Amino acid sequence: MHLATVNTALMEAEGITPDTAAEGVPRDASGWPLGELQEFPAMALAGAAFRSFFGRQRSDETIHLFGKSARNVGITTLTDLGSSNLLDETIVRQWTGIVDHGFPSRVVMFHGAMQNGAVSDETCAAALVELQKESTDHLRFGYVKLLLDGSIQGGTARLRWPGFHHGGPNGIWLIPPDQFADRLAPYHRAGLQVHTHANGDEAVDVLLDAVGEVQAVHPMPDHRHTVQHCQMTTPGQYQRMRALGMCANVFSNHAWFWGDQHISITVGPDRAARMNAARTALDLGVPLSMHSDSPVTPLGSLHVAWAAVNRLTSSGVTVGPDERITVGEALHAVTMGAAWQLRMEDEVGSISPRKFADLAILEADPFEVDPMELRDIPVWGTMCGGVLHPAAGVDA
Amino acid sequence: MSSGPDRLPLTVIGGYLGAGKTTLLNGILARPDGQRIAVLVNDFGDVDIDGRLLASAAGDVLTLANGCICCSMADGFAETLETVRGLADRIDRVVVEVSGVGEPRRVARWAHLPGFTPDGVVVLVDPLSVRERATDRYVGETVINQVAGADLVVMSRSDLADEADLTGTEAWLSTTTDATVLRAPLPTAVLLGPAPRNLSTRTDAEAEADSIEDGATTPASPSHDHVSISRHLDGPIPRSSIDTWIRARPGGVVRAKGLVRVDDRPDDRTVLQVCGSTTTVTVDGPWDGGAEAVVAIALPGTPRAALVKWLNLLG
Repeated sequence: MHLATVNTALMEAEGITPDTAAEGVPRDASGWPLGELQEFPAMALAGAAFRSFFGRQRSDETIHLFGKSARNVGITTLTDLGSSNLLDETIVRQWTGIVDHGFPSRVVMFHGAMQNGAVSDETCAAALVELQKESTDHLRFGYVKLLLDGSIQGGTARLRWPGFHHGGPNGIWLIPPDQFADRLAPYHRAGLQVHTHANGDEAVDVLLDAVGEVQAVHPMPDHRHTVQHCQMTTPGQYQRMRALGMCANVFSNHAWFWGDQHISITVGPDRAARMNAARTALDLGVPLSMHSDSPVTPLGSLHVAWAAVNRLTSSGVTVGPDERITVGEALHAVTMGAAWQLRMEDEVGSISPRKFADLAILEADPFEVDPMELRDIPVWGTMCGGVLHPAAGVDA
Repeated sequence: MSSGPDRLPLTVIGGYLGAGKTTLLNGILARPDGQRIAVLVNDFGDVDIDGRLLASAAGDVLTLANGCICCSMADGFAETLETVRGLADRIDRVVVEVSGVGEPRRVARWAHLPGFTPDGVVVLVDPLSVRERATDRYVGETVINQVAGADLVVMSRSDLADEADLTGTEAWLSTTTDATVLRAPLPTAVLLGPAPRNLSTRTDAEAEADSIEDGATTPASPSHDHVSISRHLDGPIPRSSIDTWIRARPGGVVRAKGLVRVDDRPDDRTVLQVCGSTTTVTVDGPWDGGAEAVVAIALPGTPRAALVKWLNLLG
């Protein structure tokens, strides 16, 4: 969320006028705001409408719609990667009340540890170990999300030299680098898996140093700490991730949605060709998954796989052809690869005796269609735990 | 301030980890200089409120016996500002703590929301470590951006550092930021500006000197030597006199605030504000018939005559 557009009626109601001194409010020649509100401090000028939008994101209806969206695109396991504060009993009860047999998807809940407030990470880790006991077949707890930096397209990711191609300042730290290992350690010691948002290669350096540090003090076999987004990670960093036992969840959709901008504006052609380096990760033996980061890009694993197979930009350029992976590798990454990173490899991710009967039901064989058509395969719906869930509009 | 379109002055306080933010915030809450201040912290662990001071606690809001409140921003910044706006009749101003790796200048953008008005970016630095931090691979740029974005830089622990460290840090700061650089401890009125009611209750027609009330709880503090001058204005002043006033500002002025009417917008209230190196002129709504006045606060040793002459330029 970086931008909102509001109409004249709302601007009048909230008193957005030429005297509004806020930054991030573009104006016409006479000084009147145009209705574009850039970044949160300006978006908050929209007052009640702004708060109601973010309030509705947490409603029961939104969770039900999340499940239906998954069904429509053939997803049988969803993750909430840290948007929820699971120390809040009300939020936990809301999810346990909704996600059960009959919900179209399993849901894996990551505690958003950035929202801990005054609660220590030690206390939080103990609470999550308790909460983990409430996990069901459909709803899983006991995972942690931390954030190190911002986004590449927003100019807030932390990049190594030479920084942004556009010459803008380096990004922001969301956790001070010299405190990160201390934040990671309590969860690591408690045996909880931590996924950390790190877009830029400098943020990945901090994360790898911290994992090395906590592993040296409290060795934990098979921890599967995961780099989320992992967009700028270098081959050398992937080698370290392999050595440290870490996983990569790359943001392959960037090639399509921002690939042209990454080439020309954010990181330049050489690094754009090496972003979301799925080929390198697989060649170096790092367990790989891929994501949509919905709602940042639309929910849908077929599109995510298509982006990694083709690395096509919106203008038709193949960005970094050497980092393309095969259809089989891409489908493995969004099924078994994701299952491994959620510690569900023995339950979901493939069609197998003694696993849940979770299926994405497609109208064409992804190995038969032209790889460029992968994202266009119609989805009939899903089966989750043996229960059929036809997509919206499907005549079941 | 009088009735009408009152906006809560919002001051942002930042600085890298260990720069002394907690000490400063505790000092403001303990010695608010007669102002009712809302201090917004990332979490209550960031302050150490004396139990004897605490009057009541309700969720994310602690109320102190001296009229100050302390709010946790755990539920989000926009939500907390909304809560504080709802308490506007109980407080005079707002102070927002920025995390150690946050950029205070970016956070200050929130002060343009309805109900608030920006009142400076104060950044703390530890004179013993800031120059080394500024070369750190990971956080050097953050530390420099914090300092460069400040209106007022305050060197904490001035009493623990030797003079060479202090002057060395001051020399480094002078090449890194345009901000005014001061040494702690400082009275609240210098850090945050004059109490709003000083502006509304004045009736004197000419500039007049008085002393700052700082609670007098820290006898070692240099606060008694700071100079405060105020002047009542009567009727709209020429726009051109504001430009002259800005250019003629005497050295030593740290803070100033004026609520005035200007000849080309006589029906609106214009706010003049000085925080450290920065002067802003904004309109915050229609004129409400309240007092028109300006107050300035300057460093010890600043000649009163120069301040009187300066304020008399308005009009």
